[in-house]
Amino acid sequence: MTADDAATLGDRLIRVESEDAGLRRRYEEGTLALRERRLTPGQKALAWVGVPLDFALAAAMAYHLWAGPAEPPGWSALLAVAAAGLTAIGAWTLHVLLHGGRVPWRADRAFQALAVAAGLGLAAAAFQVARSLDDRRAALGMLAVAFVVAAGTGTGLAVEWMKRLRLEARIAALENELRLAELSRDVAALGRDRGDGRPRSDASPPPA
Amino acid sequence: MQRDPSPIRDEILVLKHRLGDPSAFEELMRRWEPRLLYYLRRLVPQEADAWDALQRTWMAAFRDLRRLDDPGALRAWLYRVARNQAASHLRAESARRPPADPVDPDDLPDLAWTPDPEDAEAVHAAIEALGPAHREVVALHFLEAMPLAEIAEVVGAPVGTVKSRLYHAKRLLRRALEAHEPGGGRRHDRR
Repeated sequence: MTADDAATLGDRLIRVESEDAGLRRRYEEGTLALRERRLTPGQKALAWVGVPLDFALAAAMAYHLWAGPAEPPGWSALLAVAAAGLTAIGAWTLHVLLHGGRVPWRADRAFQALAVAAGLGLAAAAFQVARSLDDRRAALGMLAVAFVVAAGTGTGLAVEWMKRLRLEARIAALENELRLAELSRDVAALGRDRGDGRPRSDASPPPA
Repeated sequence: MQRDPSPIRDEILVLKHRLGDPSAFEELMRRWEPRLLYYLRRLVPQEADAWDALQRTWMAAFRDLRRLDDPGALRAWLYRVARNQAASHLRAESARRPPADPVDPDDLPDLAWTPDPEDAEAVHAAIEALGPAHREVVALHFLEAMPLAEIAEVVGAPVGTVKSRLYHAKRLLRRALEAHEPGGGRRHDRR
């Protein structure tokens, strides 16, 4: 049985219809946009305002750490993490803007990873600050901040992880079902071929 | 009962798309593009409109596929999205569309007739001569061998109306094919 013999009416109808190559090309160029999303003009304008502010704030923090009065170690860590986080976010936004506001899927993922790392870093730094504070009330307040940031980041991560696990389990089950379905289809086709008296591709020659 | 491999593969691709695998959606597009384009070209008058509607179908599908509750229902969902996109081209015409067929669909006999795949070219030409409502149901029926209930879900009409449209479309097609090949009408019977 050739592939053409097996083609359904639907397959043949599709084959019969001619298409304009120019229209197809234009369509394919259009679908490239699915691999990325574009910032709206409003978002772009906001980003252009935000990037210099972002870098200026990061630079001010870095300068304060370098040349400012000595801070307790916890505060220094908090400032360092915040400066690093702001620099990373600014760099990411600038990268997107310089590429015409296009955000490819990988850049979105990178931003998510960055947000998680920044959240955990901020929580750790706030915890250090809480430990270094002498005022008990202020220390408890800072500890609460550390807890809320860590819990928020952790919950987000856990929910994402659970969702992925559930989806991966469903995919694994479906892949098993697919293998079974393909196997039974092949067996049925083999049975049909035998019934038709057609030679099988792996048929050995009859004994002499 | 063992399912057909093709919908299982689609379901896997939908779940992989939800996991964030960019190649899964591209694979879905590759698998569905020819059939959706054929369907859309039966709905809109110009080929360029069909390509535009197909592009917008993918945009909408990419955005909303994560919200599809049952990935197993992808086929009807995709056709419905495509139909909605074509409808925006046809809004003006749809106001002038004739009302539902006056015949009571429950009185219609089942027309199990299906043309021979060998006659695809003649069938394609005959489908073009049908009205839009008939063209649509017959395209879904021949492309996908869709059951009436699923076609009704796609076109947003009662099953009875779909049955009636399919009955009339097949009758017209059969007549056109018999006229196309005088004396060879019996050859088209495939029950």
